[in-house]
Amino acid sequence: MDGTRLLNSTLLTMGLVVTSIPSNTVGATPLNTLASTVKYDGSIFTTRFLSQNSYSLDKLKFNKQKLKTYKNLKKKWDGYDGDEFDEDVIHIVECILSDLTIQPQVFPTSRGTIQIEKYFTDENFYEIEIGKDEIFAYIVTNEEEIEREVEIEELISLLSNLNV
Amino acid sequence: MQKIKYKYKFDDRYNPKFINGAIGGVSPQGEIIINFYLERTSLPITQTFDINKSTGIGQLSVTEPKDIENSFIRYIENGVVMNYKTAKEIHRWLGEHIKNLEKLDITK
Repeated sequence: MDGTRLLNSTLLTMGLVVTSIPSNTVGATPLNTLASTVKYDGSIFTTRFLSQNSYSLDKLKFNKQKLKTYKNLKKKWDGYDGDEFDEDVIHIVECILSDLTIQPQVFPTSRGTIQIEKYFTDENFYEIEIGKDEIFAYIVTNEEEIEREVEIEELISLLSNLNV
Repeated sequence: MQKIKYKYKFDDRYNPKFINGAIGGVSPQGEIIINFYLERTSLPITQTFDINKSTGIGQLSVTEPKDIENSFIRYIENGVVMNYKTAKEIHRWLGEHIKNLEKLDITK
């Protein structure tokens, strides 16, 4: 493939597809190298088809309002030995909620953690417990079941494509 | 399995523009307005030079507009208005692409 065709092909496919040119091609430019390492993923090529429930500003505000009330809960708030809620935990949950496509239900737990959960179907649901030092996820989809500690970024990625 | 096909129809004048900034915000209707601009240095409308009888065109004497040296142009050709839901999805979509770009190992 000559230089011009190579460049044209790269410009056309940049950000969209993987070029067929090996990275050690003689005369390859940095631009070509860039394009050849971009992985095509059809799911992120266009924006997604969103359901009516997606990105509901009202539901997000409602959940944030709920979180705000958790700040006022003192030790033994549940009539037993319920812990207070750390500002950091509330902040983490706020960040997660802002990134979710469909708003879940939010609950306080007696451990001072916050649980967010959403049931779509029996085979499509999640329950996430968010604490100061740990986020524990139980996610069930048609393809897999996840039950382990996760990082925020991974969590958003896992949840963002559930029943959009 | 049932399928659905989306057709992309392009306007005859379709031609993506290069931009390097935006100005806008939230509208009174709660929508997000983005006006894209291309920022560049100003160019003069006219320039007047002195004529030197012996050497021809001499020094620049007048430039219009007068504030050209301390002004920049932000040329706005396109803008978009979108609701919250679309803005969130575009924001997510853009974030995915930015992450993809940042993952690249250009040393390969």
